[in-house]
Amino acid sequence: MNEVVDHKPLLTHEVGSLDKPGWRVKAYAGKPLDDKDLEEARSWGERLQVPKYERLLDLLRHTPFTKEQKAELQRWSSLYAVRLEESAGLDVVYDGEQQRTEMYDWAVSHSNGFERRGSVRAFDNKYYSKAAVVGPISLGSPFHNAEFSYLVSVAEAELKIPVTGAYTIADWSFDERNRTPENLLLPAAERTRQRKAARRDFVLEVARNLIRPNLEALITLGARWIQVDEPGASTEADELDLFVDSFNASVEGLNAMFSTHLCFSDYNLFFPAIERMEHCRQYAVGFANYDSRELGTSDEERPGYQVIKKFRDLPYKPALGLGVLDIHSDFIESPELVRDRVLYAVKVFGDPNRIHVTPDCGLRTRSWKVAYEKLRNMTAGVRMARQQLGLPSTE
Amino acid sequence: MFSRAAHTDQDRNVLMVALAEQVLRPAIDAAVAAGAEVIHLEDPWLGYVGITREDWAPLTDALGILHRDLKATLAFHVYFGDAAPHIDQLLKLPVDAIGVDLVQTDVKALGTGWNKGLVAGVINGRSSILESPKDLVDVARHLADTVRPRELYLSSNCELGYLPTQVAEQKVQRLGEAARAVKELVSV
Repeated sequence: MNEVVDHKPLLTHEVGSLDKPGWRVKAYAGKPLDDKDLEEARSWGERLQVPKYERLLDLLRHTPFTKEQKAELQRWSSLYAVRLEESAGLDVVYDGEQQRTEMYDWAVSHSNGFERRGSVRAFDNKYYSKAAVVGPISLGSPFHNAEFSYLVSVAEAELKIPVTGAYTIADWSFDERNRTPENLLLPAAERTRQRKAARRDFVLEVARNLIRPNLEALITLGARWIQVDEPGASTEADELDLFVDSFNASVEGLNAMFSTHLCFSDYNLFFPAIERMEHCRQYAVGFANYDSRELGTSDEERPGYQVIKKFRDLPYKPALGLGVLDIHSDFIESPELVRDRVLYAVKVFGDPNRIHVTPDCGLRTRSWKVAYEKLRNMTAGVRMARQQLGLPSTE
Repeated sequence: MFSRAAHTDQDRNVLMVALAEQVLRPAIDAAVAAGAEVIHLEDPWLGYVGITREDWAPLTDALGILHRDLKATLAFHVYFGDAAPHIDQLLKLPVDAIGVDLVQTDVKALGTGWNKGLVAGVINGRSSILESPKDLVDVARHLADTVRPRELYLSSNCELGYLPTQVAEQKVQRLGEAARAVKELVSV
């Protein structure tokens, strides 16, 4: 995979999540399915040419589902998602987290040392069940192995496995390893020093004792490209060095290609901290959300992409996963718009090998119909860019 | 200072004063008419990002609009940051009380002999670890003895929306427990 990634210009891939089909969500929750759900399963099965999808339809007609049947339905959902991405023409695929609850809960559910504390808001009207770490952190059981093994068995394209990163897991958790509240009568500087030391210890414990063993298990199974998702990385501007240290502690010395996904932030904050993140071979970063929808390849016409120069200048020359699809909007980017965003990035980098093309972030906020159209136009735009750059076609 | 977070190409100080006049003051008047006795202005921007010297005057103007002839206590609460560098200026603002995030701010930096009330942010709204009522009482006594504010309010350091409801409820209960204990001490 390293060779594929390092030497394939304008490689296309997804970033992480996809919406879960209604039939999968309802079936798993034990809710009744209706004709609309069955039609959704049928029409996408037909459209994506999912092998033997009629078996899924048979299964969906026989409610209630046993635990084993629910697991089977999750695998069907995985298969559909992989086929959607392959059908859209992506070079590297994944199943959009169809077998996971969500990116935080899934990791915590398979870990030791955490206790649930209740729901808190993540963003907008989205909530998640936040946990506290109350004791030593360790891996309960490798939590992506079953998913990865299944995907290997069905994917025709190359695979990439996203894993939630240590900094984000720690940042989205409470630290109750020491339950003594702060003494507010102590000097603030001393309290800050103690808080920072505890925080560092906490984040690195998650990296070493939870994330790293899970990565090792995936690599043993044959995973070659692992994307470390860190949406929380820029939450605390003064902790970017800690984020970098946690990434390095998670992956250093392991034999796979590691990339990271950063989203929706002031990306200038990451510099110079990530100059030390040399084990990261690719940064998948969202830019379309900040960009104009006008065509063109000048600086003025591509305001959302001005910061990419900083990624270009990183000393270890990673690839940039160039976000070209706004995942917060149903607006379908035209192939021409994708083309121009890609051509602009290639012009800035001067090397198409260092540009990969992706959505800004996981597409779970969009319907499959919108996600599919966006991804198809993304790959069409990349074909146009290849042609314009005189690069060989991948088809 | 929410004018700082707005999407605008306009002068943010002009926007701040306009927000005070056209949005906040009518909202505050409605709240007071409905029976509100304390208006608690939350200002994380100042604590987290800071403020330039020339912005204090328009901030004073904006708060003056809110405070003029107000028949309620007006508190201006700075959080998500150390209030120590701003204490002298904060005490000149036309409000009745200043709120301080004591998780971030050194109690010694508060000085002494305040001419305003102090909203003491003693409950950590970002941590699930429960404070001890006894510790809270100790802090309150210390603040009453050293800072000597006109009034002392016990509060969380920031809003409690970052905590699960059950944790927030437990914290508020402990805050109430501490406040009752402090009142008993004062009345003795």
